[in-house]
Amino acid sequence: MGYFLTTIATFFTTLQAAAGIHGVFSLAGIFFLGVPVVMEMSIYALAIAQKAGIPPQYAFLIAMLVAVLCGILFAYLFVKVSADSFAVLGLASLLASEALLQSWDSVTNGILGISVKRPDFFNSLPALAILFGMAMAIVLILEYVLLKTWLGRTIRAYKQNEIALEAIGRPTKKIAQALIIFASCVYGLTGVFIAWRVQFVDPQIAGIPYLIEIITMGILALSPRVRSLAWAALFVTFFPEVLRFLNLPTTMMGYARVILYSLVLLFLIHRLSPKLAISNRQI
Amino acid sequence: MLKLENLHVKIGKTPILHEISLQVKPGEIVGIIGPNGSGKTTLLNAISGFARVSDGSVVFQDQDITHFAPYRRANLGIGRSFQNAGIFRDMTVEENLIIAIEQVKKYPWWWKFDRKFIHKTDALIDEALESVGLTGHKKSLAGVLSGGQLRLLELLRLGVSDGDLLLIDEPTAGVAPAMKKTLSKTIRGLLRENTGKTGQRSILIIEHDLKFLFELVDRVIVIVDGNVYMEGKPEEVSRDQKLQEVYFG
Repeated sequence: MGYFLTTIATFFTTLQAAAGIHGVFSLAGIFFLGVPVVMEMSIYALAIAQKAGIPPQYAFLIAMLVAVLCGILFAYLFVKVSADSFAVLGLASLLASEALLQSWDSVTNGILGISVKRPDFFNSLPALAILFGMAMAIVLILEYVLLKTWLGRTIRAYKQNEIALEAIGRPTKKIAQALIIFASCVYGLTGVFIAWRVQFVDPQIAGIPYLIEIITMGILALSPRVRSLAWAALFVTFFPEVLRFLNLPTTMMGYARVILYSLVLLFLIHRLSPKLAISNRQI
Repeated sequence: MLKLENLHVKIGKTPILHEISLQVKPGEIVGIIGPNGSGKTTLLNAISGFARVSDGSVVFQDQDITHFAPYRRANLGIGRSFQNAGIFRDMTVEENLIIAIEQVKKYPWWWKFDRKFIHKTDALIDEALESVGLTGHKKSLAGVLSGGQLRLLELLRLGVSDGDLLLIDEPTAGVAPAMKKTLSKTIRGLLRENTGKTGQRSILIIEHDLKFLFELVDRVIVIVDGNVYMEGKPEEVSRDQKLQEVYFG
């Protein structure tokens, strides 16, 4: 039952993460590779706030505020640099944040990490799985409605021809910035959920391996349909389970997962590279 | 309708347009010609907001819009088509038109869930597509259309966008000669006096095919090296000996 609930809870948070990357990366073509940074920052805000004696529910609000602030910062940087530079900036910020979290051990406990408490009303795994399921359902309904509205069409058009979209009268920069902030909120929430599930954070909780997972989902869900998200999340959650049948040493399992995801990502990039383009910002 | 006064535009440190002053009156079709690199497209970019004006002013319907963002100018009524068809190729022909219609009609965000709005929009799209013989392509991806059909689709999108001033950049570039008549007819159809709507719409058009252009426009402006070299009726411009030398070498 524990394994089943953990896997279900993981699937719910993965699907929520897929919805977060879908709009900004898959549909709009904005290479927002700084999403794990937002996640790390909000998880650490949660953990540090709890360490300072703030109750879990208030720590949650602080974590979400940090996610929004990170989103605003990335949204600001997005309009200041080119699309390619924004991708590099995201990656660089990921390495910088990891280094910061590891080296500032008086606050973050360095590589030893910090334990995280769940709120009392979600203290059991079934209650947590129900919460994750409800949050995922809300995010997916929002995504479904969004895809049917002018905003959904705008996001899709943005990737194909930003200039033509602006010429029709859509404020493309503001829309891109809103997408970055929305994705940051979703990843802040996902980060908190992951921290509540594992009840522990360390500087590698959302590093490059997690980014590879997110990008894999983003590529698998290139189609503007909610069901493509579900397939992407199912694949990313259950595909590494094949490793369980290989009798690998436990110490190797984590690395084997990363290698497997990397190979899948390479394959997907090779197969889908024409569709995987940064949004066109040239006239 | 549109008034440019002493317009200067630089790209980087290179001056592209120098002291351009011109006017476009309501209901007028104005052609812009000039050799390659003379600044024609930069002029459209400056009017639509895609090129920064370093000096001078752009006044549209008595409002100074010199420093407005492109989307604000579009919402004020300046429509724009591009040299390399500004179409969303991975969206259907229908969606390409919907994106312009919902912008203009100020539909509520939930309109796709309401049959009344869906029928209304369908009727508008069917009418537009029928006028240029693209009805059969309504559900096709725009990316599968030919060069000429893409141009027609872009012009239709300009038509449904309800702008008062339409900026059209080289509509016949890469288009088969047989399609040019349809394009010319479609551009004429964009004038409101021909579509039965109220108010007069103006068109500013860049074109290299002089025969196509001279049959279409009321007035021609010649731009050479970023300056207005001359302007006049098509027959006056075509008779100018200096222009023959400058334009055709």
